[in-house]
Amino acid sequence: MVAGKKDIFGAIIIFLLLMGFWLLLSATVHWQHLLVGTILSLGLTVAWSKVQIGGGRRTSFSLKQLGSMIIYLLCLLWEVLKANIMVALIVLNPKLPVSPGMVFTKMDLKHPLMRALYANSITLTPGTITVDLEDDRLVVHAITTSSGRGVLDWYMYDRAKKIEGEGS
Amino acid sequence: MIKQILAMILMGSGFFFLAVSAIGLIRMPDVYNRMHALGKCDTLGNWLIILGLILVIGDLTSAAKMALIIVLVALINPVMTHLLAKISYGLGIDLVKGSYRLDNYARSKGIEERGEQGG
Repeated sequence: MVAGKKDIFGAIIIFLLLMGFWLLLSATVHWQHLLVGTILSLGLTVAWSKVQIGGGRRTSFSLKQLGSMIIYLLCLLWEVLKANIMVALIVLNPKLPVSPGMVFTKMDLKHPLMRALYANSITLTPGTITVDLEDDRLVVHAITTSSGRGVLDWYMYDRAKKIEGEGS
Repeated sequence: MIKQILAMILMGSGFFFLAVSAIGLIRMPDVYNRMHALGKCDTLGNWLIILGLILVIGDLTSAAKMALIIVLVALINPVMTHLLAKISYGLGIDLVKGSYRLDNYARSKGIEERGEQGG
């Protein structure tokens, strides 16, 4: 940890998230609620300022990244829908047409958040679940041959890559 | 009235997907394939049922809390699926007979190394 490197922007975002959560649960704007919420949120923000999840880098994102992220999540929603219909068709088919297998492939996303998001996207989308992710080695279990090949050049990967590229 | 019918459709399809995931748990041949049915269909099933409940209740604070549950399910379900799959793979549980293996990683590495030597 570099001394004197303060992540003010990240602290503000954590404070706003905690405050929003508090307001969501208390559901009133009485001044006592607001006061207690502010004190607790501030305390937690200060307590968590030492904890570094993102590997010591500052919190930063651009508006462009936020827009790309929203499009990414909408695409993800559509893929989840497709995945469920596909699995339902396989499960309810009397012949059970599975041809499972393991796919090993390369993935070079660097940002921890994007890595987690992409791995979870693979789990939620048609015919594939993430089994392992070390450095740049991605192990995926696919339920059919075609979905296994689909992982190798998936359009969501380009989107994730784009979001990461816009940050620098 | 329209709201009730819409909520009924949403919750009905939610139940359908949860039932599919339960049937998949019984019918699929090995642990990884079962994970497909559980990880995906449970997520959408829960989402649809909660959306239906939001429509039925119609109270803003309760709706906000339920939307929070939707986000939590979306975060937790794939992570747990991934962890179960990872642990099974680490323990060396075999895939079902006739599974294929597609190793794109070694191939891409090999090409890279050869490229470095050539350059």
